[in-house]
Amino acid sequence: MRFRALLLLSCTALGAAEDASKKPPLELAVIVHPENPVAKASLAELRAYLRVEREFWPNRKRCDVYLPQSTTDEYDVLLQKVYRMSHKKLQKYWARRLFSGEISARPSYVPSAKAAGEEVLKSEGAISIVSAKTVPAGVKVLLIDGKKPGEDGYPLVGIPGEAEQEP
Amino acid sequence: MTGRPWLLIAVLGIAASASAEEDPNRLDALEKENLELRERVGNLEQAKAEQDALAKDAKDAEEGLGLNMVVRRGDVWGIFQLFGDTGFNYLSPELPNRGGTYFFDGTVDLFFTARVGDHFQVLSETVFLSAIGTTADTSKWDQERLWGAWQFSDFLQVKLGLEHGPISRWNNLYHHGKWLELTITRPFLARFEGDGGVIPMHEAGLEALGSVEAGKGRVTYALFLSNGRGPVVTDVEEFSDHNDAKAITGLVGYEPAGEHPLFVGVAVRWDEIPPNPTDPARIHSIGQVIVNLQVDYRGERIQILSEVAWISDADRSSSTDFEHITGYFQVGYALNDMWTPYFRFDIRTMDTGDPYYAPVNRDLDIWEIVTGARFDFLDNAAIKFEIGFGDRQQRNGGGVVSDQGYIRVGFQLAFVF
Repeated sequence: MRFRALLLLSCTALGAAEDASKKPPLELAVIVHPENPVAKASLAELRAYLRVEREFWPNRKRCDVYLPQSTTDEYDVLLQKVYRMSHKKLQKYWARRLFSGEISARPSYVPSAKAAGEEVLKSEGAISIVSAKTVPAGVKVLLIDGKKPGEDGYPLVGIPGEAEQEP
Repeated sequence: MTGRPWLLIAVLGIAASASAEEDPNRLDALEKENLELRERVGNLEQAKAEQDALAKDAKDAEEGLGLNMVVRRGDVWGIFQLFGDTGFNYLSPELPNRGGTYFFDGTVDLFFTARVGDHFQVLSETVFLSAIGTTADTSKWDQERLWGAWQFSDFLQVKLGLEHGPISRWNNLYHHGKWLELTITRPFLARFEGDGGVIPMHEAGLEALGSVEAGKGRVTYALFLSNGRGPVVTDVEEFSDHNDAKAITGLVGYEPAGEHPLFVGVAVRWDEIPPNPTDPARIHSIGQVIVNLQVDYRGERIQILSEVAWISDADRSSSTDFEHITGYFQVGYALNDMWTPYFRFDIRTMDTGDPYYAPVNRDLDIWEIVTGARFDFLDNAAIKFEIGFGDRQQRNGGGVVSDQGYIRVGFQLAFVF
């Protein structure tokens, strides 16, 4: 009986610790230059842009991808919702595609939402991802699957820390 | 004079009492000012530390593989990368005039690509490699790829120069980057012209390629107009052409949208191989057609790569047709982020006596089973260990063809920086 009680207590404590270590859901916003003709994209289209399978916008401006740094929660949610692979796999993915000549440059990384906003405002073809709470002023936020951040069913919401671990 | 010191003392006393009244206010002000300054310095120091940490994280994040030799100056982006490999082989039976075991230095591959503005890109791949010679080994360098391309849109890119042709999926995925390859050896279908290959891997010419979304996926295409093959099977014709007939290679592929990339494609190549003035049996050209089916799947753990090529040679000197088939099926399974065991079945069946392949004994059959494991002990370095065994035909000095079983064991260290 005492053993059972101890076990129950331990499990409760472990569960509580796990809950405490879990971060709250994070919502991402996709930002582009205000002159970009695209205002909305499906999640599949967004994937194609961010995986550099689509390299050009409809106005023939090259789509330059600026990713949040790999240590951020934004990057983690991006791996879950868009890339669906681990950071290591993604690095190999870029290396292989670059070497094969399929892409002419791999995405750049930006250290903050402010820096992402600066890059996006600097280049008409730039696209970046920031937390929906820190959207820089002056940029355009894309609707994804017809929804904007904060709306029910918006697809770019995830819990940081749940990206695929290395198999 | 005696009263003056008292006067002085009185003045000093009044001054001191006035000063004593002012001091508490001044001290308060100074203390407040001091606190404000300390707070500002603290904030500045914290902001700087945060900025430094962010900059370091960003740099680390971007480094990824190797030395991150990326340069960006205005509209120009340049990336440099170096691949290399070295290893050990055991062969039974051994090569002529060689022992059965030997260490080897593989290749050093210098890769560079740059983009200027939105539409122009150049790419260069130079390889330093060693080869086993008849009496002594040799080293040389080869310019494997060198092209400039203008990309109009996703649908159309035009490329001019020396490139790996679209006839083989393996070739287009890995080129000469051994670190990218799952295995130590390439399959027979994707062997290079100078290394026992039967399909042309390099093409010098003009290529149009692109992709377009179709249904729930993407259609890719490539059309390559090139010099084609030279009179002998090892001749790549990257600097000149022995005839005015150009080779044409076309590829159509489909990649369904999905979590894991799948590519299914078919490539066709037509070429008019020029006569060989040094071979009396080759006074006329050979019309060659190659059809290659390609499947490439990269799952979360499983990766499958398979190709089957049919080669038809119409020899106009002897009015004889020769048909050859070569293909492989390779599967790898990632146990974790380091270990990936793999298996490959590899085969090449040839019509004996094809005057294009016979002079270098590539008109002979061979099959092989390969099994091994890749160990990615670092993000940018891997060790591979594999065993291959099979059966191959060989031709003796009298032209008699016989079968010979063989086994090989290989160990390779491959890296990228």
